[in-house]
Amino acid sequence: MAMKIYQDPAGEWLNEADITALLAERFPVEAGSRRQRRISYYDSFDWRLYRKSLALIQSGQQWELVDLNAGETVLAKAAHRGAARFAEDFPESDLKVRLGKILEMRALLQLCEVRIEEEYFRMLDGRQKTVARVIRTRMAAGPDEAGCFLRISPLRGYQAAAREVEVLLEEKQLAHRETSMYQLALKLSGKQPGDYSSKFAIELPPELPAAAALQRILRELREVMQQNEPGVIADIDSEFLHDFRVAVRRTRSALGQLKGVFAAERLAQFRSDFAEIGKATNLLRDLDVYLLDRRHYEAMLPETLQGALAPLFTHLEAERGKALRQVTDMLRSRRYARQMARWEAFLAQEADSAPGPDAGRPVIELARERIRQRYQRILKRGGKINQRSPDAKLHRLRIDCKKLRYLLEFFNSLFPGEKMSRLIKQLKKLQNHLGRFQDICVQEEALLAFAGAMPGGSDDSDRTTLLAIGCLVGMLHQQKQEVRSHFAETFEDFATAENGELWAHRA
Amino acid sequence: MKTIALYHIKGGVGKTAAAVNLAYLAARDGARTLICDLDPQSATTFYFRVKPKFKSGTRGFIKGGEFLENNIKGTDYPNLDLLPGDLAFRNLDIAFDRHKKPTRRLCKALGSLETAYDYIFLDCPPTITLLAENIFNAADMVLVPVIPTTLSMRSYLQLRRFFKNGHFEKDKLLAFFSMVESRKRLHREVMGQLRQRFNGVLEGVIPYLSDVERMGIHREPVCATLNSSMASHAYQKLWREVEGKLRLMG
Repeated sequence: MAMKIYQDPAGEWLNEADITALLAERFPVEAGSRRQRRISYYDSFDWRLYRKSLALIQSGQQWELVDLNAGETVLAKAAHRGAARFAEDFPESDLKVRLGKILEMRALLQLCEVRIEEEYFRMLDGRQKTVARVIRTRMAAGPDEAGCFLRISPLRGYQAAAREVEVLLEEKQLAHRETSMYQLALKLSGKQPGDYSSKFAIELPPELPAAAALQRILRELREVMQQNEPGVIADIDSEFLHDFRVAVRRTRSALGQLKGVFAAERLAQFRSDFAEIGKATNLLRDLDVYLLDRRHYEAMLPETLQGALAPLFTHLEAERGKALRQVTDMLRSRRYARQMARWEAFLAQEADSAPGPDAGRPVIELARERIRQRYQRILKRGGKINQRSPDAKLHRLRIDCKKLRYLLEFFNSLFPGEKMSRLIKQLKKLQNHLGRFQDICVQEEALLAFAGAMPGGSDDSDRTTLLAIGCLVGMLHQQKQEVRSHFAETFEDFATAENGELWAHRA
Repeated sequence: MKTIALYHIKGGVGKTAAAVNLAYLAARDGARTLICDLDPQSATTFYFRVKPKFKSGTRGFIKGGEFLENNIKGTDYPNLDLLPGDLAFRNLDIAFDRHKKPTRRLCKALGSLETAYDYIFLDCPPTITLLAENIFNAADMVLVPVIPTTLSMRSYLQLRRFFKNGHFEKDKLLAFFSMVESRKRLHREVMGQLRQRFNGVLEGVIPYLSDVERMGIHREPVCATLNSSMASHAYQKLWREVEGKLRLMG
């Protein structure tokens, strides 16, 4: 149910007398009340609400979650004073619950603020009862950016009158189109809904030379880094750093897995640059993950010990503050600027200016080859893992899976969509399994390190904290064993699926 | 959704004026609001300038769902819809009685509106029949306007007893003083007595004001035409109190 708006074809602002005269042909008209309001639309950086056809509207202290598919009807609302960064900042309400599920760890950003001036024209019947309203609306996003239009606001039970008004406006040659307040507001503010997604998607023609294809992939990844840098520095939410790091990792993976496309000596510098950048962000990401998992940790403990973790998290938060400083300093440093300038200059060059032996091969060929190699390596390595294999073996397999995943994402457009998404789904399952194992290993280690660094334990509260940590380590260890014992079946599912055919033969 | 009934055994105590203004104020705050005119005299419908006609008849009313929804009319005010009254509603009692669980028919008929509205106001006819019992079951709150006179107080006491004997939830029943003339000693005394004897008497008071009476000429809620009048302030205070109580009910 979209909103229909009517505009003068010349873009003129219809004046009150004109509108009244136009409508008075059919109805007694009363030009009446005016209303002014200021509303803001909110969404996360990656448009999570928009992707579910939702929008969050703030008007003063009123917050409303509206359905964009149903004429912005209100699904949930709550009164909340002051800023709202995360779903959890809202008071207990349906709105909070719904937002929490969709936004998760992502922060809300104000997309735009618009001022809406409305003037109501009421069509009346014999009883002087309103049977339809025409609303002259002016929406302004700034001093210069404004849109003026008429819209009909039908009344329940008076559909026939609304239709009559519609016909009347159309007869008058007013340009009409379907839109929504949301679309208009975003357009006025120069925003494009859905312009960022953490999903990597790039279209590559199969016959494109490998060098040109890789360059496109790398340019795209550099752009993702750039898009996320301001959010990391402003510390809006933890996903900016996460997406930034994924882009760095993908870049490194592309350079490593597709060597031979560019001349090795040209790449050495870049590979070390990206390794350095990745490493500089590790600590902050680790701390983010611990803090995001706070509820999860606490839920693992018996009730009596749940409060005892507070000193641990206070400590982690302080550490995170320091780590954030280091990352923002890095991103703002001259060194980083130089590294990126160098990289961008390389990406802007002709694709074949530093060719390696594979530079001219069609990308589809290279993609098939590299995916096949990685896939087979995973089958071989994974097949050897058993209950007694050291943790490091599982760790290595996890890295292999990640590499395969990146290849599949880079070259997604080259293979049939359905088969590809099935494979990615299976791989994801295996990756989740291995990732869970890795997380537990890291957490175990970190908790033990923290316990070791705690003061002597003469204090009662220190002792309870240590006890809680001990308890957690025990729980984690148990989980680790469980994850390990289920590895075989997860791997079996992945290995037996008929995936090889995707790249086995030349098409 | 919360259902608020404006009810009294007696007529002419300010039920309709209160229903119209409270519903208007709820809608003005942004709540999706429906006002149902259950009174065959259809005064509420008259105030909103709508033809008192319920197309689906009492049978359709009892079926509820779309039979009821198709009769709803938008009023002149955003967020406020009206279910028009009809002379045929004088037969609602008889119609309810023909069905199983006759005291819960209204509750059932309104059921489909649960998600469409935040508040439903019921403007009730002055009877204490099967329809009244339906109203007591369907409403989350039964608001009783009491004129501070001996007779009006007596009928309020009767109603309390009726609630007790019929095992209706007593906490639903709230009274407020209506058409109060504070210069009359009797009014002041009755108000004092009633407040002393019972909980469930609201602070908000609607004075006897000609602006309220004149609603019949303007055919608009006094809160809409004369927003800063004394009458409007009185209704606003009452609404804030009622809203607070509803919120406490969860």
